[in-house]
Amino acid sequence: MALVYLPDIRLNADLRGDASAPPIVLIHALGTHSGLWADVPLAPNLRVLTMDLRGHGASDAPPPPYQMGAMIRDVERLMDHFNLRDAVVVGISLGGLIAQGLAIKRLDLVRGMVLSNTAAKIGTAELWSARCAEIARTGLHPYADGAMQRMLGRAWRDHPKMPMLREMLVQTAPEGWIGAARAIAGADFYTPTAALCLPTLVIAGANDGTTPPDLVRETADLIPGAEFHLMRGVGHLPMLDNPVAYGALIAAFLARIGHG
Amino acid sequence: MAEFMLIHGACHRAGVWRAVLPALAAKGHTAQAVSLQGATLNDYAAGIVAQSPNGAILVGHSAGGFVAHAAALGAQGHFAGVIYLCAFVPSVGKSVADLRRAAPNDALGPAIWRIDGGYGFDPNIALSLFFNGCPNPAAHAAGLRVDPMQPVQTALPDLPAAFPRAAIICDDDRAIAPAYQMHMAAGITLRRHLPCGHAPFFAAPDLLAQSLHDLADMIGRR
Repeated sequence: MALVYLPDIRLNADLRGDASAPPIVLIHALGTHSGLWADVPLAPNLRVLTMDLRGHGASDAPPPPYQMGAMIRDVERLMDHFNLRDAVVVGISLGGLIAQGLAIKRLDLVRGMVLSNTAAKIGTAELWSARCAEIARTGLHPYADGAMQRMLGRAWRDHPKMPMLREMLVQTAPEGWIGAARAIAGADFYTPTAALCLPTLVIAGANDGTTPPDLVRETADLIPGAEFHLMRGVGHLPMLDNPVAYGALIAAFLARIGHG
Repeated sequence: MAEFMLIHGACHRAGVWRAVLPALAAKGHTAQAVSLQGATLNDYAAGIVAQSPNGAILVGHSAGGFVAHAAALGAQGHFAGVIYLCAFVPSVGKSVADLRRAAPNDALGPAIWRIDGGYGFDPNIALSLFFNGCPNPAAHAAGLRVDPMQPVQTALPDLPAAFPRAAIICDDDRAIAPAYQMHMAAGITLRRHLPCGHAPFFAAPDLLAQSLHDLADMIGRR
């Protein structure tokens, strides 16, 4: 991976696959980075763009708060930089909000969406304010245990991916986490997402306490023709709980819409 | 078999082609890595024309696209064609600096140092701007030199439409966005893509040689 130098920010991005292959863009969740996708098996005949969102991974972390519009524009600019159009955009949680925003803003860039463990609106302003205040005070280390439990479920201590996920979280700049959390707090795509009409796969995790299946289902119902799939035995981050089944779901969706 | 004149970009040296020369030779081609002499685009172009055999194909990397273009303008019958390699492709009235500033995202601008009437690139930025995906990027960044300002501020007229031109787009380029490379090469129908950044001679010399081989064949058949 290497940085893409945009006028106001440097974003760490990685592009793989043949120039003529159909593009897919993977957008990670809050407090993680592009490595979240590492174990998901994707077909070799895809052009895959992954990135670290602003405030995350090796990308720059400007002072908070971030606007959701800025986070959407970052992905838009990366796609423009690499000349990617008609991509399938896969977003989990925060990434799913960005995917919706991108489809609303730039439907020329987005051929289809995979909205995973996400919603048109996630949490409440009060919840995010409280978490941001806590992290501003104590940093991400004390917050990590609770976050692991929420994201990986009751058996989080024994989860094989927990050390990796925890490391991603505590390595995130607190300003970056707070900035992006503010973006989530300010985002409500209920109305614009309800106007979207494009091939969409919506994935929920049966044990997801952060974006519970009924909330995810409600978002799927906003988009005409969206397919809803409930994954059993997984929580908020199915690409960690069951990467093979998750990859197979995405692959089947891509096959159905003739993408690759 | 083709004869290539390999023209390096701004602040680079002829030595950047060292892995490409044997790769082209293995395909039966001859190639020269050109050292640019003088301080103006005309000096560069005249030097290349004087060194190159009749029927050679010009290959210009980055700002070297302008140098290749200038050499072709000065001696159109002398060259078989020009290949722009992740390059600034001249358009009427616009210099390299104009094209850089006109890019939707001018990543190079913040990396430029103005020194002693010339300019160079900040090696710390060049590291990931030019040499992503290369083995040993720090050594390449440290090897950049200072160039005179004048060549990048010179605009050139178009080549005749019938003059064979080709473009190689580097798809992971952080210095000149691949989208902008394609925009500048809009009038060029012969194209190849390479899956690397702005330094294909380091990151993918064999793939680069293969692309040059293919494009020379297509230019030769015109």
